[in-house]
Amino acid sequence: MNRFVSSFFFPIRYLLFFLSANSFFIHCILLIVFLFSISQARADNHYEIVINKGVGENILSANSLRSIFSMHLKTWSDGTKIRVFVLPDDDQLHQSFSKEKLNVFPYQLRSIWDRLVFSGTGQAPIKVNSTEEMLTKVASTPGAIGYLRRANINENVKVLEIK
Amino acid sequence: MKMLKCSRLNNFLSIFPDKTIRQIVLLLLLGNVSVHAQAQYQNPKTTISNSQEAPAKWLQVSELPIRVSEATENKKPSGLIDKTIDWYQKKSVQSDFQIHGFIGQSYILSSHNNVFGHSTSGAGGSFGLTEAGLNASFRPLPKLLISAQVLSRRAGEGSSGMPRLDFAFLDYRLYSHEANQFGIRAGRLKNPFGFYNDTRDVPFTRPSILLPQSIYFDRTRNLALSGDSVQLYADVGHSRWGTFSTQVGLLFPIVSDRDTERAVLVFPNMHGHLTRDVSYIGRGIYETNDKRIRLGVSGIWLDSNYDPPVGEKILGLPITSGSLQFSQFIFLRNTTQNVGV
Repeated sequence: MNRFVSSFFFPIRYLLFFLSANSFFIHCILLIVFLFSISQARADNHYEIVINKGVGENILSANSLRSIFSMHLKTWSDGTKIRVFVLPDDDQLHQSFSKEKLNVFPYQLRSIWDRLVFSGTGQAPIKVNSTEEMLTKVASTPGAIGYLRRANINENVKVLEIK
Repeated sequence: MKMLKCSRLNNFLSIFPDKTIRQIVLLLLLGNVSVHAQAQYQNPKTTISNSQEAPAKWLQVSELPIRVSEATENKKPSGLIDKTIDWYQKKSVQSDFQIHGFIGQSYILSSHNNVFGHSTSGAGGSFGLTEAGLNASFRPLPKLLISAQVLSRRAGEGSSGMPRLDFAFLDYRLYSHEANQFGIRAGRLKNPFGFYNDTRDVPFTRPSILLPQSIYFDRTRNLALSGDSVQLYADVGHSRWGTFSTQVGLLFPIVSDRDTERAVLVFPNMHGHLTRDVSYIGRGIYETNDKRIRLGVSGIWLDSNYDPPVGEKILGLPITSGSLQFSQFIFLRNTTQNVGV
């Protein structure tokens, strides 16, 4: 509801700005970016968080999920290693996942990882190049966590519920 | 209260000799390459089930020569590596190993005054700022992380480009529950100071090419970068309010560095040496969950001693051993407005 209202009123408010301001070019760009972001946010929410079958967890809090993907939480509750798998920063599924589940932009995640890696206080997640690779890596690596579109999920991985 | 803003930098740049001419220093970051290599050692069971795959396939290596050396190391393990792999297999412990590196080359063009070489427009600009680094990290146990980094910085007279050990330490997680972490680090550690000191030499982690000189003094940069220390850290995350992360530690600053001595011992005829003393450092950063607001408090209490040779005089007066204390306490603020892309 909220999203609908804001997306309905924002362009009108924006048009007023548009007419009054001088910097025509910048506003054009912002408007395009804005429209683009709306279409993207609606495009892709048919995905799940998946984990290796050996991991004991079934439900995870959104807060813990954020902590895992920002590479701060390093172990599952039984003390075993968490191994994080991600798609490239410009992948659409990765973008949807980071914005919708983690509430941050991919570049913000990248900067968190860079800060950890280059200060030595943490490691970067393991990058996979395709959803097929994500599936095989999560299925074969103990402690693995990743995300997949529902259509790509099979019985080799476990779907994790986020509460 | 000092606010971390780039206007500080502009102020700094405009304090050059000729006050009447406004100084415009144009800095362009030209090239900036970052390489990452990640290697994952699998336990025997997993390796067997995936035995069709060549060992090199386990390496998620992208675009770099390290790929070659990593692959050969895995195929022909010898000496220490062999023993290490045996140890893993015996203990059935999995370990994660990563290598990361970067190189940044800047081009500097200024209207007046030279910055890192002959950068004025008449001289055609300067390529005098080069930054490079290589680090490795390794997680032998779920709660233990070992990491080390070597850095090289070539910038004017102050930094020759000689590679030096930036950090090398152990990080042990003492307590971990959901988004709350508590642990200890020991070794040569980055000094938690300001927002950017931890990764000050890594071009893509800082917001500007030169950081504000009111907080990140480049004259004593090696002293500020890292030190031998023991730190406790805590990250507390709340689903609604955001995260609060803090580090406090005992620090033995690195004062034997030539650049540091030259910056601190301002008189040209001082021939003694600085020796280090126990110092303290601490930082707390609050961050909202969407990372739009970051607030920080950062403090350092630095102690070191000066031991002059017998009979040394400054401005004709004899001096004896003494101590140097330096403390700084800053508040930091950083807000970002995100545009969806």
